[in-house]
Amino acid sequence: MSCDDVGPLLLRRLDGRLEGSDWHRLESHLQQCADCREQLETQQEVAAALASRPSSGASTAFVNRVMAAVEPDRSWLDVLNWRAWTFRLAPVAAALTLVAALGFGPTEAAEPLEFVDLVAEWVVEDDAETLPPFALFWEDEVAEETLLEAVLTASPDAQ
Amino acid sequence: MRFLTRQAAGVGGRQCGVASAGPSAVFAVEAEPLLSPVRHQVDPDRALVDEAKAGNRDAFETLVRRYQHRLVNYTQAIVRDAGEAEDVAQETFIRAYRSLGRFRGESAFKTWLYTIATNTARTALERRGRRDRVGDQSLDDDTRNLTADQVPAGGPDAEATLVTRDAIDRALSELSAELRVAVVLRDVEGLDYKEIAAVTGVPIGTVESRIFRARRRLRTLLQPLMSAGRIPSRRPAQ
Repeated sequence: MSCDDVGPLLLRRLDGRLEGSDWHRLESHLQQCADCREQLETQQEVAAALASRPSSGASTAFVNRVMAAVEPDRSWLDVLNWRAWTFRLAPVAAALTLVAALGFGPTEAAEPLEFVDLVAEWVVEDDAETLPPFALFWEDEVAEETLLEAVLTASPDAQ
Repeated sequence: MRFLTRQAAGVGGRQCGVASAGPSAVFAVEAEPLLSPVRHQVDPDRALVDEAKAGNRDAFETLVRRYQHRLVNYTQAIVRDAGEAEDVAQETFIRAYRSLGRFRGESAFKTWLYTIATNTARTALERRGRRDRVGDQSLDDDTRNLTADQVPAGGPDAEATLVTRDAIDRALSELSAELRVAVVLRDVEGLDYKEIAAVTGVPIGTVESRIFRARRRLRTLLQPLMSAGRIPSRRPAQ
């Protein structure tokens, strides 16, 4: 065995993974090679030093921060659900729109109104035997009590 | 298995080196690491993962609590800065949560989580630039990382712990990202070689090569601490 072959065997020996003929070959080489014995010692010392490294744990609020950070994902999922609900309700909305359109469908076009028709009920013929109640408002001198009575008692049947 | 020879400094000029590592595997952050066909042990997190995938937030929170300290410990060894380490760890869990649907369970959840953490940490390092690889870090860096409000109130021992950890992390920061990740996963986090290969996406031989080279480099960097007895240099008997 040459020094070139020693490296991986040293690691396995260190970890207790070296067995059989490889173990014997390495032991035989180490007995004759000071440099490789030094390499083995180096590997052992550094491995021990790193294993002794004081651990650094997470802060007390770490878990809460992580769970709060993954929470926005749920908001995103909520948004997705909102969209899903929108798509689910779209046919319902379309159906309601259709019903509304059928229910308030187009009617026969009414004849255009003449101005006279609009004001007809307001026109008082000169020879009218009776005046509509609101005619009092056109008179020059009308008592307030009379006007009030006319307003309070006015009805479609007043004429 | 044989390493290619390469002139290695500090070994008396004799060629006894290791091969350069192949290019780092590039795969999506959330991609599940590939494992060998050899069956692995039952994943202890499987039940929780299944619950979390079904939408159970409490299950995912349990996973976060289970791995929070390990992940922050790992990310801090990689990025060194304590605040950034928590940010990286937090981002790791967020990415894991959002990628749960793609986790097929072919690897252990722990391995998958470390994969995401490794890629997230690498991204953070790239964003920061190559500052962490500068070899002429001044002593001011120590004070930068050990401000008064960062020293716990536990007395001298707690402060010594911080100093020791920071000194080790500073030594680790002298390594390239590939070497640092490999040796931290092995010696700090305790992952086996198969898991490290899965996390980093390189063959086991490359993992061994990186760890070997990393430890050799760190020996020089950690020598002052070892000599001062600040850190042990012998493993407990196995």
